Amino acid sequence: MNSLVYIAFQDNDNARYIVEAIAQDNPHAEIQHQPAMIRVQAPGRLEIHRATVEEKLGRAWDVQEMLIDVITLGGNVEEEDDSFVLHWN
Amino acid sequence: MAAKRLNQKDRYRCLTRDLGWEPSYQTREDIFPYERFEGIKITDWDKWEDPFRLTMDAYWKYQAEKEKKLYAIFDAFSQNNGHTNISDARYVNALKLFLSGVTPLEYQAYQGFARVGRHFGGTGARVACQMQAIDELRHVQTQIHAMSHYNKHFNGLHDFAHMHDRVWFLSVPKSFFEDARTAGPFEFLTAISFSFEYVLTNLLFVPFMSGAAYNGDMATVTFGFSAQSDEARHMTLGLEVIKFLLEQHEDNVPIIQRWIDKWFWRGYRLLTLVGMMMDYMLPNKVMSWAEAWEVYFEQAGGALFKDLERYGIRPPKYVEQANIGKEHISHQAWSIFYQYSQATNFHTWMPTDEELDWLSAKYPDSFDKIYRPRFEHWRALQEKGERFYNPTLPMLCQICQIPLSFTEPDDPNTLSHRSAEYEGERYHFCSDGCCDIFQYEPVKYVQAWLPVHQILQGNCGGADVESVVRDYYNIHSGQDNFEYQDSPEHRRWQQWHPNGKGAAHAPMADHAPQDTDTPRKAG
Repeated sequence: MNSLVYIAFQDNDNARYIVEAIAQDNPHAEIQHQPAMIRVQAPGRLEIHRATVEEKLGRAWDVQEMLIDVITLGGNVEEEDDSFVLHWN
Repeated sequence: MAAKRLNQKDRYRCLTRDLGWEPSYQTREDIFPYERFEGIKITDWDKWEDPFRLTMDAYWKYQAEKEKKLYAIFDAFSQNNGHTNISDARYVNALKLFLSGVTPLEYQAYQGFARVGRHFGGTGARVACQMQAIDELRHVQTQIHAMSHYNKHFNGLHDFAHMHDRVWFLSVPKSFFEDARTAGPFEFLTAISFSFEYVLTNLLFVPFMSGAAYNGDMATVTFGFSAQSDEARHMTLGLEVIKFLLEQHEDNVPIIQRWIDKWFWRGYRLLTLVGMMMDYMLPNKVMSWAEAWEVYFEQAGGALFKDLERYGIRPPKYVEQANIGKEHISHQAWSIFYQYSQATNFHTWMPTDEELDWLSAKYPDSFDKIYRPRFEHWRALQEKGERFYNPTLPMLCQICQIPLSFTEPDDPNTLSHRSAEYEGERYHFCSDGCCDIFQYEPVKYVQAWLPVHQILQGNCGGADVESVVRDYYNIHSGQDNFEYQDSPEHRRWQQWHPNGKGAAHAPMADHAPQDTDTPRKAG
């Protein structure tokens, strides 16, 4: 089995749309609601795409903006202009 | 025409890597004198990857936004008397432990990162450490600000920095960080960035802070998650540091492995305090310590060490002992603090019936067999008006400085005790993990400042524990310490909530210290 990668956000108005975008782009991801936070985990790999998040938010969004709402993550990080990827090798 | 915007990689190169230069009139060896003595070999600093590629301008922008959000919430919390809306005043005792035990560590982290940031030859590493140093300073400040509101209404929060330097159990977190800061720069990063931030701090900041939210403490969950938003960057740095060092030279592998073994065990022992906070000090519970350990260590750490296998790194030594310990350590720690409450800046209590049942359900293999009978015995004593306090001083482990009260991994009824001789003196340890750490560097650890030894040697003032607690620790006897039940704080909470809010306790102490109900201002 693939190891789990995960990312957790504060449960707020920004993050809800980011999580929606993640759910759309990563059908294999599992989303857990915990007090004040939302945790997303998936075997092997998770991808966050700027285009999908912008579509959900209805505004321009910089991938680095995500750092305001992230609580924790697990996995190797690859951050680009248009995407943010978590994976285990 | 507007200039074309640089993409992230180019921006990072221009605003980070290009800040470095080749020295002309001093040698690199003289400028970075601590880079070699640990035996770590760096062949090419340019291979250092910062996956977040955060530049200083973006850093300020996002940090400013985090601060604005955070302080708006602090204001709202205090303007609305948020402290009266928490689940139960017992909860605040976790904050007292946090403020005196964790907040000063953030300050030590700031000092540590500022120092190692100066001493690395690579520009990428220097910038990442500089940002982290500033983050850590921000965490210190936001935590003090958040808790200053509680200090107006609760006891024991009035002198946390003084207490951190002196109080017996606070030497556990204090000595942990001092150990890291007195190591070389690469060991510091392996200890703090990797073993602590990447592998273990999730256990402190994620389930515990989620628990703060669940107990109505808006201020704490907000500073916790705001700090943790920096932590995501720190964790990533921790993982990159390890991969970088392992890729630089194969000779680095055994050195890093030994540091991982050491700092996993140091961190695991330190987090015993967090386990106790989660299982005993959160009136509304989110998950047990054992469950948090499974999600954030066994599962997440398992994935991590599988990923590092290709470098020749194996999971930390004694990890199997830690996995067994998850069933026991929170109960053993609460037992220590319950019996030494006369010497702490927070209150302790016995769990309610409902809480005992929760513990039984969460710890089916250990709680009913071992800990429930002990707690029921203490409750019975308390009902008779004989609340148990241990009048003797405990024996401390030379490394983790926790009283010797953990049990053998294969026998929860036998005390785990190791000892070793060095230059004619015998030293004592709680475990194989702590004993190994001593034996590798005895010259360092014979110097440990052990609070109990210091009291007995007369270095903490006072001829008895009572005067040490009062005069040397600045703990106000009868207000800050002893049993929660019928403490001034408990009575004040009842005045705020005459129709009842918080736990209905079974046992009632009839000789709890009586004192003024007036909240004390910071001294």
